[in-house]
Amino acid sequence: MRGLLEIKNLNVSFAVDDNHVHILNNVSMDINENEVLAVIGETGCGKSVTGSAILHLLPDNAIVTGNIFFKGQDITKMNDHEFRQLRGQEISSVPQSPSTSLNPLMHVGNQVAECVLEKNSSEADKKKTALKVHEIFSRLGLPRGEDFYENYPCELSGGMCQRVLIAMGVITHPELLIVDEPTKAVDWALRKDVMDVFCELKNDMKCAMLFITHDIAAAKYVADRVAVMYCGEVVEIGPTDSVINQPRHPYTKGLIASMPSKGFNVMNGFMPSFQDLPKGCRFSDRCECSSDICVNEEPESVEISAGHFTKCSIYKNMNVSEIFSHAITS
Amino acid sequence: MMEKPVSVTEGLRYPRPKLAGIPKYMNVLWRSFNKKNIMLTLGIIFATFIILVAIFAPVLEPYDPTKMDLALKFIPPSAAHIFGTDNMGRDVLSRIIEGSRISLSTAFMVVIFSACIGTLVGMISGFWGGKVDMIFMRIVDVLLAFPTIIFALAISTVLGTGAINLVIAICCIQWTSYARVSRGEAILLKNAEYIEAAKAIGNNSLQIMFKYFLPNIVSKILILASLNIGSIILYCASLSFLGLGAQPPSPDWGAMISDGKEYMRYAPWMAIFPGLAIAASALTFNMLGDGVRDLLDPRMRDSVKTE
Amino acid sequence: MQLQVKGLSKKYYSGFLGNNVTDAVDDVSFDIKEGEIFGLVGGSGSGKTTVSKIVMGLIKPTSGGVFYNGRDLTKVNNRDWYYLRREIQMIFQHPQMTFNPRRNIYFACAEPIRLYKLAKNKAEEKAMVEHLIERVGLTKDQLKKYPHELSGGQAQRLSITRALCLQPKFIICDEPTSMLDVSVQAQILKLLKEIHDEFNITMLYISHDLEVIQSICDRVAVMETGKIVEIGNTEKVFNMPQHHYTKQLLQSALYI
Repeated sequence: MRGLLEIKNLNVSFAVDDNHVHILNNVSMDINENEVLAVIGETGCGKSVTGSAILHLLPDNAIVTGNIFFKGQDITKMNDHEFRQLRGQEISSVPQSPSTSLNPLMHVGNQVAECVLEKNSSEADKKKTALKVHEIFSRLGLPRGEDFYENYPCELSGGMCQRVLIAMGVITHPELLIVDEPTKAVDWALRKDVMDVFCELKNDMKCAMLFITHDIAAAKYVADRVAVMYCGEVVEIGPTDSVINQPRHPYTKGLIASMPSKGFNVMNGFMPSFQDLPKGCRFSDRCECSSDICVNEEPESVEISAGHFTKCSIYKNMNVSEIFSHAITS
Repeated sequence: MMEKPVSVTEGLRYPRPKLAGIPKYMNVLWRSFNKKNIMLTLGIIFATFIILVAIFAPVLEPYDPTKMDLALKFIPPSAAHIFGTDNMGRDVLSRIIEGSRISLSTAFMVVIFSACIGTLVGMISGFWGGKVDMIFMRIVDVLLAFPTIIFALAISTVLGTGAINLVIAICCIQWTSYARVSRGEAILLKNAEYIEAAKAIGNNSLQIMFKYFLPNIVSKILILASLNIGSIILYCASLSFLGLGAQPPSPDWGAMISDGKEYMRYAPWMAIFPGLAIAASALTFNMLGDGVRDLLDPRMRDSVKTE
Repeated sequence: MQLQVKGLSKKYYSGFLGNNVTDAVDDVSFDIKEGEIFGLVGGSGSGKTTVSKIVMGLIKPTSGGVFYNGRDLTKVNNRDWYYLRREIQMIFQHPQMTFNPRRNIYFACAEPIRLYKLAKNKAEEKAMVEHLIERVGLTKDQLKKYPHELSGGQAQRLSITRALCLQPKFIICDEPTSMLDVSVQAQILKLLKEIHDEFNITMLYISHDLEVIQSICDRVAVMETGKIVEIGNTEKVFNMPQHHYTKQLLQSALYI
């Protein structure tokens, strides 16, 4: 297994009226081939900005530093023309809202086919593409055949639209698929179906995924590894089981404890706005085990167990056995 | 995994195609001096100027606009008569200044009356819907089928010429566009969740209409009105050009052009300057309208949103 | 029995001559005891929101009745509704959209007080608003803000404040947490539970999220395409589902 995508110290700020609003602060994460990394976080924590940064889709006032390596190439250094060769071909995305991301005046089949067709492709090419679209539709559990190909988006249910969008994302056989909030717009009963589609994709198509979501249960269902983001920082990253069953960062603990099935224990306070972040650790003002060091120093990332990193000062001066015993007691 | 932070000030944008030939400071200047501000500022300055001119017309006029002196007819623009004199020896500048009173007051009256009628009708028909809506909207449809000028000509034939009749004539058609807009807004609002919430906390229909609908509709109507003034000025001018507006000897821009057109070959200033006055004031109020439209959209007003 | 819904139906007619009939709600009956939290679960399009709007008097039903303390709400005139609104309040799904975007937060909270003349003067009104806003965990300086400047969680607290202003006895919650994040959802649910205990308010809680329903409701009804398919105590319904739709819903749960 080798690293497919590696994000190193990614910083993104937005220039707004002569001010810089610093959204992403030293975000680092990596995705291996055929691996699903879920990015969990709440509204406004910068998880979608991370996705957009990878896809070069940030607005013009964004200032990006740091590196994003895709197969060894730094995509932050590419210009739009060079990146267009990658986007859609090797890196592809499934956008957030299925109801508004499709062109309402175009057959869904054509919309999917459009992703691969060149401007002046021949009739033979078009036929071939149509077959390919049919194949992908049937693989995603959509009815195969002319009828479905010629539906308009308004004739389909939310879950079906979502699957059409997935088809658009995967038809080029990308190596990396960036999925933004796939469960947000779908109903409870459909959520599992949608997630099953992603699981199948992972197993059949062998494509790596960056799975951006606020739905912890969905992340757990599909992801190999999980990154938890808070206020533009990755506070915890590691294998799914380890992060969700033994969360080490106080924020992750709080987030998981506030799930209804865990008895919805409440975390104090609100997420601060990016204009007035607390000094030191960004979670320090809401954290129960906050101490002086948290307020004064920005915490460093500590490896708790194999591949499981957390950015919290509690673990700073502990050795392995102490960390282990701390985990048992808390 | 996480290394020492990189300073953002060293920041590097994504390489994007550079706009050739535009220096960087121009870009900064452009951004800080936002487009809509320019429109609004210029609009306000010119509109204030025009309105002040209209108010203080008697003070500003160098000559009596109605005094005829045939010895001084057809004087081309000169130091004494900046815009020249007309076929009756009257000073064109004075007449233009005096004419601004008539033109602007007619335009404002038309806009105010038609906006009031239109808003009320539109709001009621949008709020109640059903048969009320049906009846009002069919009336609007019928009226919209007439071209404004033709309808105004017809009304003037019935009522006779004169400034007030001109206002009535134009109002008869113009209120329909306000009714359309406010009905559309009202229908949108009717389904808004906060109207439902307002009902849920115990507001009755009348309270909903005046507390919730009216303030929300008024901003749209203001935008429409400020955009409309320019074209109303043009309508008034064209109707008085046709001889339906203010009657001689009171000066009106449209009527002045109409008088001047006969002497176009040897005294072009007689038609050109009133024409410029019409164009300038229509442009000014259009600019003001654009600026107001940008300003009144509450979601564009403040608060920086990230993500 | 505080609220009884009996044989409620709502049909929508469409098409030429209105010959296409859609049953948004079809013969729905349930009753809610005083002081309980009653859950209504169902997928999208199952008619649960329509039921809530009929109970709230915002839509007239085609047939059936809603009895609040023995009085049929569907036959009450506008004038009496004015007094009933003090007792029955609603919390909506999209918190930011339930406020007039042109007026500040203070106005939104003070409006019900003004409508029912609960305060004698401005100072008393201000004190009432400030007391309530602190009760739901917001600060006074947020009163000057406009709705679009608030986060979803803050806005939802605010709509709870507004509902509480009138000291209602019955609150309808229409998916109050579906647009919120997990941690904020927990805060709001806890707040709702607290006010339920503190003021002894009966609640009708509508949601598609089974986990939420399971964690706060005493009894629950499951709706599918306008009909109630199962009704009973929360534990019983969730542990021993009888109807296939309930089973299907439970199976599609993702657990952590």
